[in-house]
Formats: sequence, C-alpha cells, structure tokens
Amino acid sequence: MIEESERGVRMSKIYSMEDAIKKYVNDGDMIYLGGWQGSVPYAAAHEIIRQNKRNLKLIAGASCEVGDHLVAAGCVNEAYISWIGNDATKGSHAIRRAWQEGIPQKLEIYDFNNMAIISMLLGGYYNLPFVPLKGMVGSDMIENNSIVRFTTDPFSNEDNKQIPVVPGIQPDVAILHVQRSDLHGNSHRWGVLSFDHLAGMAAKKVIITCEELVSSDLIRSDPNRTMIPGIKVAAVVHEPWGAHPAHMPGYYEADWDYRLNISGEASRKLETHESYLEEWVYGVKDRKEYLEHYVDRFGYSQLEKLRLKDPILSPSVNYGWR
Amino acid sequence: MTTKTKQAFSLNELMCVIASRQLHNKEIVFAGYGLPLVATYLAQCTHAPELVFITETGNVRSTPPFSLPRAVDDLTLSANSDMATGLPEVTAMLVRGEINVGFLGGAQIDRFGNLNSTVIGSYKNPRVRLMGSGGANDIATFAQRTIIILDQTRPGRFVERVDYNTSPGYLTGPGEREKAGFPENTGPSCVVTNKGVYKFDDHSKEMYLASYHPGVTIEEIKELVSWDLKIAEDVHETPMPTEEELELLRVKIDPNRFYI
Repeated sequence: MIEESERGVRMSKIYSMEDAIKKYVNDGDMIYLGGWQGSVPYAAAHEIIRQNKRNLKLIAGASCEVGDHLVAAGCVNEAYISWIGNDATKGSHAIRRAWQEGIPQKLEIYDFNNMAIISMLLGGYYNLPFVPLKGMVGSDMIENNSIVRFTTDPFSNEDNKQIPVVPGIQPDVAILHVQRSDLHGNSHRWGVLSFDHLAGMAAKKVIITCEELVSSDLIRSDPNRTMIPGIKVAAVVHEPWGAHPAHMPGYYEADWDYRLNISGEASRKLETHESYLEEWVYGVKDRKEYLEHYVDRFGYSQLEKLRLKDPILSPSVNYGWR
Repeated sequence: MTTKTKQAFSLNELMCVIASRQLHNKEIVFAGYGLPLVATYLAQCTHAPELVFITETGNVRSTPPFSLPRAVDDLTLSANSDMATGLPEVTAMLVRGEINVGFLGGAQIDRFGNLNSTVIGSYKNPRVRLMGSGGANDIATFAQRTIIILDQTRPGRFVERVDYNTSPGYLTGPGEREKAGFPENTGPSCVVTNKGVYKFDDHSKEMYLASYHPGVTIEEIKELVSWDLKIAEDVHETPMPTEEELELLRVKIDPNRFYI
C-alpha cells in the first residue's frame, strides 16, 4: 500500500520515467504491465530494461510484445500468463529461447486461462486468500501448474466435492498507460480496458504514464471516466507516444510496419533481437530519444501518419447536482 | 437465396462463408479478428442482422465495425460499439454460459476436438513453445458451442491425441465433459479447414468428415489426418459461396483483401 505521506491528494507525483522506475520498481517485484495490443506502457517497459531490473514476476492476461521485450532482455524470471509471445508476428521466439534454453535467463511460465488471471487479480482486489476457479479443468494446464490447488466446496450437496482455486494476487506495482492524468494520478482511460482497471486496483501501487497531463478540474468534469484514483498512484509520468508501437485510443494508431518489420522481425533470432534492443532501448536515453531516433530513421511524416485524424467525439454528460 | 456462383473464389472466402452459415440470428458470438470476425460480419450482413458479437478484450457490438480490425484489440472495434469495457466483464458473460458461439483455433486438434495452442512435444521437454490459451480455454469450456477454424495445409495438425490439451473438446469421448463438470450440451460443433468441413458424431463425439472443398479429394484429406477418419455417409462437396456472399466479402467487408 502507498504510505500516507506519499498518497497526498494535493501533492504532485510527477516523475521522470527514469526516476519513477528507479524508485517504484524493485528487483523481484511482481509487476502488471497494462494494455493488450493498445494502451501498452512500452516506454516504461523499455526503462525497466535500461535499468536492468532482474527477476521480475510478470502477471498478465495477454503479455504481448512488451512481455517479449522484457523476457528477451532477461528482466523476467516468472510469468503468470494466459498468453505470451509476440502478437504481431504470432511467434514466441524470445519466449522459447528463455523457457526452453534459458537464454538470456531461465523463464518459469505458469499457464492459465483468462478467467484464472481475472480470479487471481479479483482475489487481490478484495484482499481474499483464494478464489474458486472457472475452467482449466480437463485441460493439461492444471496438472502442470503448481499455483492451482484443490479444496472442498463447502456449499456443494456432493460430499467432499473438490474444486480448483487460485490465490488472490496483489502485484507490487501496476504500470498503466492512460490518455490523461492530473499531477496526483487521477487518470482517465477510454477504449477497451483490458485487465487494467482490475489490476490497477488490485496492485499495491500504480505508476501512471500518460499521453497528456491535465488539470484536476478536467478530470473531475468526468469522474466516471477515471479508471484509477490518485490515492492508488505512486508516480505519474508524462510520456507522449508512451505506448508506441501500440495504439492509444484518441491519439495514435498501431505502428504495424514497425511491429512487423522492425521489432517483430527482429524477435525471431537471438542476435537480431539483441540488436533491436541495442538500437531502440539501450541505445536511447529515454522516450524522447527513442522518438528522435524513429524520426531519424523513418522521417517525421511516418510518425505523423500514425496520429489519428478523424475524431469521433462523444458529447459530454450532465453531472449537475441541483 | 441467390443462385450458386460460377465465379472462382479463394479458400479463405469459402471458409468464411461456411463459418458464417453456422451462425444464427440473435446469437451472441465471441469473435475477435481474422476469419472468425469476417464470418461474423458476413452473418450480420446476411441472415443474422441481430447477431451481437463480443471481443475478448472488451467490446460488445450489435453492428459491424467501420473497418476490418487487424488485431483483436483494435481501435476500430471500440468506435461505435455498444459497450467498451474490459476482459473481466466479457469473460463473466462467457463463464456464465451466456455466449452462444465461440471461435477457436490451434496448432493441433485431435479426434475429439481437443485443441493445443501451448506446446508441441512434451511440456517438460518441448519441441516448440506456443503462445498459450489466452481466452481459448475459457471459450472451449463455457461457450454453448464452438466453431474451430484451422489451416490444414501441413500434416501433423490433425493428430490422434494432442500433445497438450489447452482447450478441451469432448476430452476422451462421450460424457467426459459432463463428468469434468462442464456445462451440459456444450462443445465443438464443427471444424472448418481449407480442405473440408468436419462435424462431431452425436453419440461417439468423434470428429468425421462432413464435406470436402471443391478440388480436394477424400484420400488427400485422410492423409492429413493421423487417425482413421470416419466419413459421413452423405459426404459431399462443400456448398459454394453465393454471388451475394462473395460480393459482400469483396466489396463491403474486406475490400482490401486483408483476410480473404
């Protein structure tokens, strides 16, 4: 939980990405990285790689390409996932290298279905010791997964009916990329939410990375849009294009050329994946330099092309109280 | 119905049309992108205008998207949707048994429709690690019925027993799903590949060949299946797409030929 002294609803929690990750992500932490194929905190993940955080435990429903990067960089030693790989190439080369060959580090994978990930986070959300599990029975996932246990269903009419359960999990930190946040971390998100609303509330603390830093008045003008309240947030990082090459609803579309031909293609082989990380992660200081490098290589127009051009605006709603 | 077409068509077009005809009006379908989405979209445009589809990431849609999504989490799936939410909410509808149809795929399928998308070889000492279940296990367990779409070009995909059962079909035979506590009368209803269409025997729950696509022989199909595949008594050539279906696919649904 966030200490009262750090929770402050009036204090600014603005950090640089470097400082936020340095202060709030520790070796061995269980982390949840938000989004799915969109709203993915790529910039934060790349900073974790640059700071060489080790033995992280990754919990995710779909740990898509961003999980691929973290595993390839050797930051993760355990993954609690329903899906892991590079969603752009539909390959899981980095995962295979780590899981099968221990390159660059041995990766332990606990395979779940989506419902199990939801159940573990729901358990964490309500601070429950365990949650009965729906599904996975009959599949080979149960016997190969030491996290799933069986217990007696006390409400069943059947004697000693055994049901699978999973533990409640509270990630040490959830890193969520949102459209806009105020400087206290009250943050608006729209589009699909993936597991982010659940994981953010289940986590012990949250790092918000945002496309835009906005006034608290703007946030409070539409409180139903707030996905995570500032009291859960330890740090806010203003990081435009922080989800690139994924898409961000309202801001930019996915960079499929990059995801397929640059990062995706590179993931197929160890050497090329290492050069990818060298060029796009270790080789740049921060997201600003990443974007500069992108513009150097592909031209400003290529980046500009990703920006959404045809807005579909939602009329505002009335929160009047008298 | 319009008359049968004399036009040439691609196998992907044929697969979309077959899958689309499996969907009924007013059903709730779990579909995301690729051929399942094209099939769902086609059904919405033809015989199932009140069909609702739900994406794994959290969109509920009673209308087709403005453009074809390239991924299951795509901006075009949220725009103009009935609801944009998250995985916990849509998965809830699935595990409560409220979803009529789910689509599945995988690297291997066996005689009883079990699917593998986790690992080829043994789990402890695998040949190839795949991506894993995602929502597939949830769909296979809880959707009222599932439609499986697979590429059957290469041998080794239709196996006697899957190396790893990610998404249960009829497990080891009749009654086994019920014994494992699955909801009653659920399970795979058909398998659509680029070679033919397969269904499951009501009693034995074993997969059999229902139809073969134009230009494909039963012998060719049997060679791609590693068990002694049963053939329907009334096995026939797969009915072709109609001109109306092809025009919708090519002009309205996938004009850039992204999937078809």
